[in-house]
Amino acid sequence: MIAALALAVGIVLGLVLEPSVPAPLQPYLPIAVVAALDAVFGGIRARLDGIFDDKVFVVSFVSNVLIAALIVFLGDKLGVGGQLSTGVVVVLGIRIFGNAAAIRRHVFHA
Amino acid sequence: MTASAPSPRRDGSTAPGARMLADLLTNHLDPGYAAASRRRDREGPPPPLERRTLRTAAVLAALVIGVVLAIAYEQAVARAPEAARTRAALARDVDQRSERTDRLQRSAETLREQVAQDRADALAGDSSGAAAVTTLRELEAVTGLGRVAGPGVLVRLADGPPPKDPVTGEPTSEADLGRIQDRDLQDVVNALWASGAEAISINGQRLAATSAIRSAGGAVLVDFRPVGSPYSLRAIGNPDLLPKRFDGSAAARRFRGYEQQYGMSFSAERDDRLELPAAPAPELAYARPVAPERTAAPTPSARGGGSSTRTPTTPVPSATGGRP
Repeated sequence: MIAALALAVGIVLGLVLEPSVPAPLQPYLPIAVVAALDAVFGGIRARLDGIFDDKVFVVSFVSNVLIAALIVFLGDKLGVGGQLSTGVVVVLGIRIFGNAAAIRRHVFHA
Repeated sequence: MTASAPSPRRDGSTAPGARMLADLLTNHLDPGYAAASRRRDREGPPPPLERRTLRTAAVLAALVIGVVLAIAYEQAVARAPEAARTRAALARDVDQRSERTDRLQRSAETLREQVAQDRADALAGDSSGAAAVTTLRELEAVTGLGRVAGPGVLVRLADGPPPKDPVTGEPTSEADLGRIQDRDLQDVVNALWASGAEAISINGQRLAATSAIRSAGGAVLVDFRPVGSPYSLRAIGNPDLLPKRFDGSAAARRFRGYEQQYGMSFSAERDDRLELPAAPAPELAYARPVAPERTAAPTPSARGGGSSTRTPTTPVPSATGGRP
């Protein structure tokens, strides 16, 4: 619950303060968003399954973002940044969809 | 181990890629959650201090996620109008500059007229001066620097309709084969010259000896000024021969083919009253006029003015007149 509250507070903070992203980090923003959404939906589902764990949530979020950023960074250096970004989005997207479906089953029992 | 080894090979479902894909499609939740829950069941909840630290970390992570989502939203919202704004600013810039160019062009034309008028007035005093003015006017007309009028042919060209999707009827992004390109205009202009045209203009842009018809991006430029469909090419020449010859030229035949194939429109008609503007004066950066020989008159027509007795003075006014 507190985590959900913190999420809302974070969104409000971001909208109010409008922090600027340094230019070198801007290419990683979309990937960070997808990784963050994956962590959020995973966390919500785990919560509904009754197995939510703070440590797993934090570690999965941080490692998701870092690995996604690393993949994009390496891809950029190798000249296949676009393709690797697509790969990251596809994999995380499938997981987000699956978790969203599980959450839906929990909430609507359908 | 030995007993279970053959089974995955028999059904073939555990090829390395298939396992990974199946995993990806079925296990969406991080396995860490299940593992942590099992561990908690086995070892009991962690000590309160650790739990509080972890809870704080999770709250911080959620906060960060919220901020990231908000930033992404802000950026997506900010970027779209920015692109539109940039585009609008560029378009406004282009409009302003071309307006300015038009204005300067017009003022250059009036000034040139004025110069011609003043020159004519200044030289009107004696017969050699009048002859020089006549020569100059003729030269200007030939080189495209003076306005000309006369009979000739009016050629009209227009793009065909843009390609449409046969199902939806929406415009598609396919190559627009019905569009008139710079090469098409070049062909028509060359055919007109070859048919005996003496002066040609495209959409009111007079062609001089150094005029260029080329394309940049999707636009056709005549002397670096954009022209667009529909195109009207006015060519002055023998009104009996020019239309007929042009009609029989390869370019005209090809365009009649295009008319049926791509829906371009094409017509060439005799017109007895055409008026063509002057072309912009070419800037001479390196070429300098050479003073004519003392004995040679500038052109044959200047000699025809009955001023043979004053031949030595004839070149002088025309030389000074040609310099500025």
